[in-house]
Amino acid sequence: MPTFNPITDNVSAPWPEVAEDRAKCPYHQIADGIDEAITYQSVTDIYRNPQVWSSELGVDVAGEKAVGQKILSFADPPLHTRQRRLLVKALSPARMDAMVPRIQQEVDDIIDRFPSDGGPIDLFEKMAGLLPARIIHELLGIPENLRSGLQGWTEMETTAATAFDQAPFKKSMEEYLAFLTDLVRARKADAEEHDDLVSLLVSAEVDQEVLLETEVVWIIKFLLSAGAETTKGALTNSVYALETHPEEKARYLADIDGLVDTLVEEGLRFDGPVKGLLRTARTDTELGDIPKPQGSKVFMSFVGANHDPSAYPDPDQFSLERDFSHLPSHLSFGAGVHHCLGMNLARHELRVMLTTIYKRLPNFRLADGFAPEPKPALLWRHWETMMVTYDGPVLPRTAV
Amino acid sequence: MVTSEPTATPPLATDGGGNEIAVHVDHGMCSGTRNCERYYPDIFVVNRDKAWIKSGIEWASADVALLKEVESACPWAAIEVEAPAD
Repeated sequence: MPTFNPITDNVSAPWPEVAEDRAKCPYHQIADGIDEAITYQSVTDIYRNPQVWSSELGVDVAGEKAVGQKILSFADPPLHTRQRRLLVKALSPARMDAMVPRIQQEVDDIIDRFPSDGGPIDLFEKMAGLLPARIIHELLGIPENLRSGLQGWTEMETTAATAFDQAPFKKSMEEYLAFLTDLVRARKADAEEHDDLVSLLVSAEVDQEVLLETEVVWIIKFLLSAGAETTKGALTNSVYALETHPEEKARYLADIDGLVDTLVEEGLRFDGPVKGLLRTARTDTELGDIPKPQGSKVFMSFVGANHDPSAYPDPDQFSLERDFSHLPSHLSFGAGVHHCLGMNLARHELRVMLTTIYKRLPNFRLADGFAPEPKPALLWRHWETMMVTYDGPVLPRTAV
Repeated sequence: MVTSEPTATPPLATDGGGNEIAVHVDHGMCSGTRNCERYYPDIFVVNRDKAWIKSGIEWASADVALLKEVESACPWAAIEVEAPAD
């Protein structure tokens, strides 16, 4: 067993323990039938081999999905390729670039409602939990009057996604799926009148094939939860890293526009919102030199890979001096064919939030005495709350 | 086939079997994931957040199967390879 077990251990900065484990071996058994890949090379090798290391047979503890529920992260090529090709144009860099003014407007609207006395406020509740949901709702074309209810179901689904016991969520999940199915059917009736993602999915055709209604429902459900939970974790993890590294914060405040891209990438590398993902062996195979039978699972540790010294010098240092144009891509967006579809949107959301927070909130900082608690979760990695404060009043958007 | 600078669309080239190869990177879709660079660093390089095809490629010795793998593995469907399947 490794010193740090991502399934059972939930600590704020496991970097020394992870380094100790990585130095011993690229693979460790972390549970019965589950090994962990902990080096940059071992994780990218698994990503590159979807023929053997299947997503369809289980990327989380829930195991293989039913037909129709095998979508995107839960699908293998060629099914995955067909679904992904339908979606990439809708989430392309150019289309996401065009979303930036809308993201900026939402972030400014959110900050306008911050208390004038400087709080303290919970950054999760007041910003990180709001923005990604609002933007994905808009992209999907969810009617305004349905967004609040939908958000509740999304949060429930996110909690259920990494829970070992699914029974308590069964009834709510059925209601959620029924709601999404009604939405899909309604949109299918007038898809040509809309220019949103749901309309695109219900009318999309590739090689004379269309998506099943169930596939569309599960893709929408996936986009709603994946986009929201990861971006809010990425924002608050980055803020916490910056606030606990005063020299890097001073460097950032001196050149916010020049360093925000580096802050986004270093924040994702240093403490990304996902601990890692599972893959399941489709055939008998090997991890390193160790034989693994069909059905074995491997946990690809993003924490381990992103702190691997063979990929990043001084990996346990949070540094805005890194030049990511000369470094391998961090794995917080995954790799290979399963590279995160929302990466372009997430980067824009993080850039706008991290710029606007530090420009409009004078002397923004962690609340006095605040010590964050890691949120217990198998796959996610972020804090329960992020209490912050600033010297009110909030600067007007026109002043920055 | 030699180009002076990395490019998104080099001129048509010929592989070792005399077959024409065309490789194209759609910069409207490329998101700079470096997938192609990891798969086939002799051909692809990522610069300014986009993938490019290196200059001075010896296409006659290019691994067409690997190029096809790069094409199908590009998560943004940004790489197009026109070449015989084998």
